[in-house]
Amino acid sequence: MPIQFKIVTPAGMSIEETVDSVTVDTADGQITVLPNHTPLLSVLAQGEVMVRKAGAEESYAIFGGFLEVKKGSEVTLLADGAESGLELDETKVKEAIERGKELKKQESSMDAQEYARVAAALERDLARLRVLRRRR
Amino acid sequence: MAGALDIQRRIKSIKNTKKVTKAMEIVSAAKMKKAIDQVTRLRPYAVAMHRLFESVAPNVPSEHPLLAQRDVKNILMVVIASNKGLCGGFNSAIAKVVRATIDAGDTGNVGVQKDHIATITVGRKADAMMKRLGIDPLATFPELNYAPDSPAVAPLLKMITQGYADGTYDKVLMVYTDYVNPITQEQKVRQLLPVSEADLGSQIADMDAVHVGDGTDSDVSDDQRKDRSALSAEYVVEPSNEAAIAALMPRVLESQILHALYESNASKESSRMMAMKNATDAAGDIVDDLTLAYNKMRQAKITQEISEISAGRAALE
Repeated sequence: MPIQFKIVTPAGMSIEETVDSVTVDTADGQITVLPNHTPLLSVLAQGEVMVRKAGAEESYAIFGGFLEVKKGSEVTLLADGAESGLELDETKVKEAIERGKELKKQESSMDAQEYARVAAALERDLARLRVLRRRR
Repeated sequence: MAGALDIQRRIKSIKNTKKVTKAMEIVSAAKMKKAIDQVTRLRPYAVAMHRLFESVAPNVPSEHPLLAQRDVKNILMVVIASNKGLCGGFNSAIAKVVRATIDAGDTGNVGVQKDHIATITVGRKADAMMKRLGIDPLATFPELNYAPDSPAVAPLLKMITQGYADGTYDKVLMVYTDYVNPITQEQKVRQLLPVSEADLGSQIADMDAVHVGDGTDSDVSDDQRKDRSALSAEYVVEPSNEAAIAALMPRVLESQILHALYESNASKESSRMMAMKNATDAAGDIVDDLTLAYNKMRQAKITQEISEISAGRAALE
């Protein structure tokens, strides 16, 4: 029985498809969910999600959230944000990482909120890069 | 013909005003549609978060800083209004509800006096409104009225959760306008913290209200029934219930705040649309009246000239 896979974000970008397996980065490490997995709720890390479907792989960058596995092979990712690996542009992501690293060095000139925002943006870009690396 | 020239000038100026109000009406209609769309897209996420919260929260010791229930001494109020005027009674309606909530004093649902109320405002009008009431806002986030999304909401969310977790506030309320349809908007006071099952539930239900009329409602209720039955499902929670609730709480709150911002935006734009529609209609009426007055004046002048000419002729004969 294949997995009913869904990604739901506050911006509504939800991917809905039938897949064979889902590999995600959780707070405790990477796990792979196969059909008939026991019901599970897990906290996601910023990272990538790999979806295997009929031999083909597809990657998404995921920016934190939850993994929910329901009875009947239903897998839902409640993510803060998600981007398909196909939509990412490597040069742009690398540029953004460089920029983010530069900004992060100037910690002293920022207030805590701004620093947190810069750090979060950098982490997002690193997650994007990981997805891009996987695709090659 | 000085008078006629004046009228002509006025007609021209009012016609220009009419063009501006008409344009604003169209812009508001588009923005309103966008905000409603955002509510629709947020809904599945909010519903899922709510459901997860319901299934995890009972398994977590209630000492968790964001689940703690304390005697209410200090209140934090998040007031959402617009940045600019020209939107009918939108801001004054919110002001009225805020005043009523504060005046309710120790008998109403607030339960404390004005000196124990702190506010965070969204929108410059909300800021001014609270200052008029004698409460200086802790912070104001006018930019949240433009493009509210998760990263933008983060600072506001942090202020709320920190203030509640360290015991500065014992209750957090949110006042916003809920969009029902283009002519009806309702001001709502919602309790964000401590999480009130009733308030959270009805806010999620409000997201459905927007759906009505889309024709997509039937599958939604089906979805919900399925969700409810899944509640009983026993989850393995990783890494732990505490960690899960720590990650869940901000997101539940975030979806509530985002929802309120979207609803408020939709309401604001629809009130502005109505106000601009009225202004456009009024401008049209004035142009009609002035055109009539101008024509009468011109006709009177022609009549007068003719009678002068014929009088002159009659004098010559």
